[in-house]
Order: sequence, then C-alpha cells, then structure tokens
Amino acid sequence: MTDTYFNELTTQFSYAFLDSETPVPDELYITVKPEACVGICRYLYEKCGASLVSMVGSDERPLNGGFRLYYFFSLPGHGSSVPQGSRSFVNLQMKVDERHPEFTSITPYMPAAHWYEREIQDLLGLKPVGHPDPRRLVLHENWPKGFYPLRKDFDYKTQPPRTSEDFEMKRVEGEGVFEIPVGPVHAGIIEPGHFRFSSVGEKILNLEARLFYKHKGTEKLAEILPFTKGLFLAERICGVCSFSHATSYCQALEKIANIQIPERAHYLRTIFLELERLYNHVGDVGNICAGTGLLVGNAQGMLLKEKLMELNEAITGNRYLRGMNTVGGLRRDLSEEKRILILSTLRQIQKEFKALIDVIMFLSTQRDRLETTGILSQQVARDLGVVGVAARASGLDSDLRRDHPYAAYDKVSFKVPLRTEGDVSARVWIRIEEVFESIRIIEQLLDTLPSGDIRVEVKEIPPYKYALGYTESPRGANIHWIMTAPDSRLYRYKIRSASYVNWPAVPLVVPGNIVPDFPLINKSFNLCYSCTDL
Amino acid sequence: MILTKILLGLLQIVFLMALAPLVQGIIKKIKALFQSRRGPSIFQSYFDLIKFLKKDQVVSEQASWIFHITPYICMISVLTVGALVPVIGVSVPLGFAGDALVVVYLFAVMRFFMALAGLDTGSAFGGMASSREMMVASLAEPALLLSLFTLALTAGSLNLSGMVQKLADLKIAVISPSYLLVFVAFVMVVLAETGRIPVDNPTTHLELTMIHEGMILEYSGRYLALMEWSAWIKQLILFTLLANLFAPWEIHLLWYPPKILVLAILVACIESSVAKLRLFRIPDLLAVSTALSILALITLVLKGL
Amino acid sequence: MFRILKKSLSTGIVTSRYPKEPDQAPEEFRGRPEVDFEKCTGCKVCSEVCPSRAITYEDDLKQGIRNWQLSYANCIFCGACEEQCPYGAITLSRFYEMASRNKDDLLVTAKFQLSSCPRCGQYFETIREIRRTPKEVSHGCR
Repeated sequence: MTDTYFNELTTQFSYAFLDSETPVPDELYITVKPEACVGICRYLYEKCGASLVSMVGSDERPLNGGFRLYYFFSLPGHGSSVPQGSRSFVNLQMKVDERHPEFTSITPYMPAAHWYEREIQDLLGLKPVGHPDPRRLVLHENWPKGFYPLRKDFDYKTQPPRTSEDFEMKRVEGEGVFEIPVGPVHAGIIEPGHFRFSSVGEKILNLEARLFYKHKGTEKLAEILPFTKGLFLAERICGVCSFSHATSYCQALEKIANIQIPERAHYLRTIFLELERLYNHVGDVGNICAGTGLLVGNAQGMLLKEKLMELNEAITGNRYLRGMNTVGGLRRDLSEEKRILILSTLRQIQKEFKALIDVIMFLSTQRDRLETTGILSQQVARDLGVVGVAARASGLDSDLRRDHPYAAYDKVSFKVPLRTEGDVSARVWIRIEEVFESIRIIEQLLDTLPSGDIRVEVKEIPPYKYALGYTESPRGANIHWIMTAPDSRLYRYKIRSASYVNWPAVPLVVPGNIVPDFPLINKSFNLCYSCTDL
Repeated sequence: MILTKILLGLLQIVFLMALAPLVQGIIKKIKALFQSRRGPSIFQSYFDLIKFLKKDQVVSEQASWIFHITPYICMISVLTVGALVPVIGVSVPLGFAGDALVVVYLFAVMRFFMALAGLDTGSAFGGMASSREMMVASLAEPALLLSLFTLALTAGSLNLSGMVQKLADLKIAVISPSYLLVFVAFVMVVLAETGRIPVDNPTTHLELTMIHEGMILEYSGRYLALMEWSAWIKQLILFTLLANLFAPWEIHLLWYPPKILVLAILVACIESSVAKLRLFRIPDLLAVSTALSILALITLVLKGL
Repeated sequence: MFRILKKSLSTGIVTSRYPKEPDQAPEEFRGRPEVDFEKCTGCKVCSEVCPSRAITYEDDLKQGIRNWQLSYANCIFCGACEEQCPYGAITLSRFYEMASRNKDDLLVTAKFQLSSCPRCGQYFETIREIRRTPKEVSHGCR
C-alpha cells in the first residue's frame, strides 16, 4: 500500500530523499532534506489527503550529532478507493543541525501542526521559523528560558530557578467588551486550565484556553525507566483512558521486539478497550445532563457508569482496568464465570441505557439546550486534525479501529457512527450509538474467544528501534511513538493523546455561543487535561 | 393591645426563621430521592447555618461597605416581609403597615443590594450573575405584580389579609379560569424568584452558569449564613403566599405544614423533571407567566367585575 | 416530564451508607500489599521491580543489617512485587481503607541480618536468602 504513495513521492521529490526504511510492516520512514520537508508535507496533506497524526522532536545528538524531527502521516484520508485495513503510516524524518536549532514551520499550511511545533520549541529548544503564534505552550512563565527538559544533557532531577514573566493573552478591545477569567482552579473536581473569555453581554467573542498547568515530565521520566516500569507510567498518563494508553505502549514495544502475542490476548485486550469506551461514554452522556441541569438524568447516568466500573473491578481488580496489560500480552486471564458476568451485565446495561436515552434525549428542554450549541464545522475539524467523537460528530469519518485495525478489531464487525451537525447534540448521539456498537463488539468477541495462552514473556527489547503504537481511546486516536535505548530502556517516548489534538478546537467552537453554555460545550468534548499536560 | 400585636408579629417572624431551613432541607431531600440518593438529613440546612456562623470570614480587599451591609439588608427586608404576610392566621399582626406592593418592593430592595454586592468585589462571576439577576428580575417582577393585581381585583383589596379573607369567603366559587391561570403564573414566578430549575440551578458548581449562587459566591462565614438564610426565608414566604392565596381555607397552624409540604414536593418534582433553560429562553418562560396573568385579568374583566 | 420521574422512582435508592455499612472489594481487587515475613528472605527483588519506589532497602554494611521498607503512601497497587516475588511472600489484599493522619502509620519495616562474604568479609546478602539459594555464597569479589 505504502508503495504506490512512495513511488509517487519519489518521482516528485527524488532530489530530497536521502533514505527510506520499513522497520515495522505498516510504517514507512523516509529521511528527507530539511529544505524540502515543508514541500513534501504539503504534498502529502494536500494531494494525498494524508493527515498529520503526530510530530516528534528527538534529541539524537549522542547518536548522530543532531536533533531529529519526525512527521507522522496517516495515509490516506477516508473516501479513497483503498480497501479497508490496508492504510498505513508514512513518516518523514529530518535532521536539525545542533548549531542552527531551527526548522521551517509547517503550521501556515497545516494548522494541525501548531501545538506540536510550539511544544518542540519549549521542550527541545528548536525554533519553528514562520510559526504564526510562537508563544510558549507547555512550559509556563515560571520556567526559565534556555532550559530544555527533553534534551539529553538535561538531567531529569534538575530544578531550574523559578522566573516570572508575563504571558500575553489575546485581547478583544472595544466598548462593552468584558473579560472573564476562569480558572486554573475550578469549582468541582476537575483539572486545571485557564479560560479567558472576551464577551459582550452574554455572547462570547473570543476564548483563549491556557493549559499545561500540570506538566509532569512524563516523557522525560519514561527515558530513565526500564520498559517494564514504563508500562505503569503509561497506565497512569490519565485515569479514564488508562487501558488505551497502556495498550498503545505495549503494541509499540511488541512491534519493536517483533513478537506476536497470543490470539486470546488480542481478544481480551479488545474487550477491555471496549469496556473502557463503555464506561466513559455512558458517564459522558450522564454528565451532559449535569451541564443542562437535568439532575435525574445525571444521577441515572452515574448509576450506569458505576455499574460498569464495578464490572471492571470484578473482572480485573481495578475500576480503571489498570494492571492488566503487559508487554507481551495480559497479566490476568478471564475465567468462564467472568465471561458470563460480562455478558449478563452488558445485557442489563444495554436495556437500562436504552430506557434512559428514551427518557432524557427526547425531553424538549434538554434538546433545546443541546441542539445548535457549540458547532464544530467540518473544515475546522479537518484543519486541526480533530479525532474521535468530536471528529465523527462533524462529519469526519475516522476511526483507527476500522482504518488501522489493531488487536482483534479485524475479527469483528461494527459500524462507525457518523453525524454531520457538529453540535453538542451530535457529539452526545455519537457516544450513544457507540455504546451500543461497543456492546455488540464485546458480545462478538466473547462468543468467539479463543483459548490458549495470554502472554509471551518479553525479557528485553532491541535498542534504537522505533514504532508507533495506536489505539482509538474513548476520546479518539491515541498515538504513542517509542524509540528504544540499550538495556531495554526507552530513548524517546512521545505520547499524543486524543485530548491533545482536540483541545485547540474547543476555543474555536465557543465564539458566538453564550457564556452559560460553555460548560455544556466543554462537557460535550469531555477532554482530558492529564493526557494533554504530560 | 399594641404590645400583643408586636409580640405576635415577632413570633411570626421567629416562626418563619425557624421553619425556613427545614423547608429547604425537605426540598433537598426529595430531590435526592429523585436522584436515587439517600441525601442528607432534612435538618442539614440547620447544621449548615451553624457551621457558617462558626467559620471565619474571608472578605475581598476590594469590597466596600456595600458588601458588608448587604447581608443585613437582605435579612431585614425579608423579615419585614415576613411580618406583613398572613402565615398561620388570616389576620396579620402588623398588617396595617403595608400591602402586597410593599412585599414585592421589599424583595426588590433585597435583590438590588444583592446585585450590588455581586458587583462590589469585582469578581467576574459576581458581575455576570448580577447582570443576569437583573434581567430575570425585570421580567419576574411585572409577572408577580400582575398576578397579585388579578387576585386583588377578585378580592377587591390589595391588603394581603383582606385578599386572603375575601378569597376564602368565596368558598368554592373562587375557582375560576382566571384563578387557575394566575396560579400557574404565580408558580412560574416563584421558581424564578427562588432561583430554581428551569431558571437557575441552585446545586451547580459551574460558575459560568450561576445566577443567585454567583452573586453570593464571594461570601463566607456569618455573611454567607445570613445570605443563605434570608434566601430560604424568602422561599418560605413565597410558598406561604402561594398556599394562602390559592388554598385560602383552613388557615391555621394545623393545615399550614401539609400545604407547605405539598408545595415543596411540587417544586422538587418540577426541578427533577426538566432541564435548565438556555439563558435566553428564561424571558420566554417569564413572558408566558406575564401573559397568563394578563389573560387572567382579561377573563376577569370579561366576566364582569 | 412524568416519564423521567417514573424512571427515577422505579430505580429507588441506590446509594449505601458506606462507612456504616462496609463495602467489600471483589476478590480480584488489588489493595494493601501484605508481606508474609515467614516466607520473605529480604532478597530485594520487590524493591527492584517496584515502579514507584514504594519498596526500598538500605544495607547497613557496618552493622550487617538490611533495612527494608514498604510505604503504602507511595504504592500504586500495580502488583509487580506480588508477581515477581520468588517466594510468594507478598500478596495484594482486598483491604483498601488506608487513610491515615500520620505517614508513619503507612510504613512497614523489617530488618534482615546480612551475611558476610567468606573471602573479603564484606556484608552482601541476607542470611535467609543465602539459605534459600545456597549456590551463591560469595558476591563475586576477587
């Protein structure tokens, strides 16, 4: 599959190609000359319909005397004649000279790259030349300039001095424009984020969101841990996507170590991934009712979510499905009683969820709040590379489970719901439909669950190899890229969560809506701060 | 004679003060039951008050004298109303001092100072909430006045005791289309005035959506106790008005609790069964209330006074 | 409007009076790690696999003592120690109510007598561990 694109690319850009390799089956890595990179990216994005799924900066000075940038493209976009399941990743890499730590920004052509480039600037000190908004992103004003934590000569224990500078927020000026600062400390149990509204009366003119208040140094920490312990770190990137993150991590390492995990482990992983989607989506639908003040709906949603989480606890020992995944398979098997427990619980949940939807989603006051609120247009969604529920509610038909099948997703049939309205209601309905699809997937898998081992022992992993690990988390595509180091450690671990790509869309959706509808819009995306503030 | 009247008036005020937290507790309990929760004890509001009174206050450096006097003004105005309204007897001990209009405008005084206090500290949420409260008030007030006027026309008096007495004298004949229309209009106004769903969500933690809660967001300790307590008393007074104007029979201590309980259950049911309105739909709701009152008025006039 | 009230009334009350009525965790649950010091030899495998440094040790080479410590405050209940312990001495129990006002309440400590190397005389491994695996009596000194 990648061959056709490779041939096209080679004829167009032969002068710029330095090298190409396929270290793992579905990933093509092309080393390009830095000056041609923007052109090739544009060609892939504009002509081939590829989407940028991640961008990684890596300090490889100890290896080859320079920094390296990786651009990951998913090929091709939906709607092409390519058969399902054969879509692959084309990844460009280019070297950035240590003496000239800068590169040409592709953001003017591909808005999806804007956060990646700002992050690379903050963490590695590589300047994206031509970036339209080169302000700080990940590191805040209390972090001194000139300290780049992801560089290899930066010790992870370094405690740089605190500084304080001003961060320039975008302002709207004019008569009657009112500025509303919200956060970073919020009421309720949510994570920190600062939102600055500029409004006239109740109407929002502009919203600027400032995140990364809890930058934890996860990627840096992963570089000092052996891969066995890195797994527990990956599991704890975030609570509600824990199993997706762990699976992405394991899949990347399994590809690198070139091991095939047992079929039963694939099936079980898929079941747990869907259980994770279930409790998230059911909880989100209930939570929407908290945003509209429909208290009974909220209580009923929480009740169903609790049942699902208790199911998780009963079958895995953890409400968030932690401690199940391991590189090489799973740590615990699923007994026959538990198989039956899942089936019976899901049957009950399906019935009760349907009854709940019938009650809450057709209530006129509820519909009035949800419909036409917070519309994300398809164009904006495409430009920003929005993924997951938000993308599918805006008419972007993308789902990694179908487009790049992993685990046992090629063994089951399921529909990917799609809506085009892009409003809060569409996002809620996508979740509702996915709940029923998830139940179908789990039932299919449990009916055909193969017997056998659940784990192959992985003692060590080869150094300086790299691969992508990806899952469709409840919030969307969750893409991890791992490069290994000697002694079974990680050289670079780049985590690109679904929330990370979807956050920039929220401030673009809000203008034109009224202030009291913002919490509802925010809930309809239900993005995770912890996945973003790595 | 005068002394007894004053004493009775004070007694009535104390009665309302003592009962208001319980009514709030009962509404909360019923709502909790609808949400499949056990919910806190119905006496929780008393414990809350005691807790607030014990706690230290934090007052913003930007706060002016308005912020400090508002809790007292709210309490005093609501207690004054409490003295003017027939509660457990048709005659009001201090009823000579005012009529239905005074009630409406004492509530307006309370709201005016609350909105000022919301603006006073300069917090973004307070200002937002104050502006919203004023929007709601500008619509709720005419609706409340109109419904009271319709009743006054039926009764031929604006004096609350007189109104209740006349309405009770009409016996079953009081139930006319206009009476029922006014009842619906009045319930809507009460929902808006007490900051309940579908107008405002009293249990939300989302500052961006708050109205009443937003204005008192900066209060803590004793001031918060006063603000909350006065809001509960206001709620009880509105319930009492509803009970005594629309069920003007058997007005004495024995029948008062069941009437209030029925209203508490009604409010809890409404709150549990609808979503909060989009902010700019609230005028629609209150416009309906106003329209119903006007309709009631017209029906009344057509029937021939 | 009435359907939603009907729905909620038919659900009934679902919350429990938790602290009064105890809530039992399921069998699979990974709660407080319990150490069986009868089986434990102080071999430190657990502290090597612990990702959050909840299990630590310190060898006092003068006294010949290994000070072993488990802190529930740092534990993430991943079960790596349970999985890797060669003697099955650690199990993650179903107990989860560990809140405490004092961090010292969350510590489990143990002391193990160290054995000295017959060649160089340096303390290097616990006596119990050497008894369990008699092959390795020296620590590779020259």
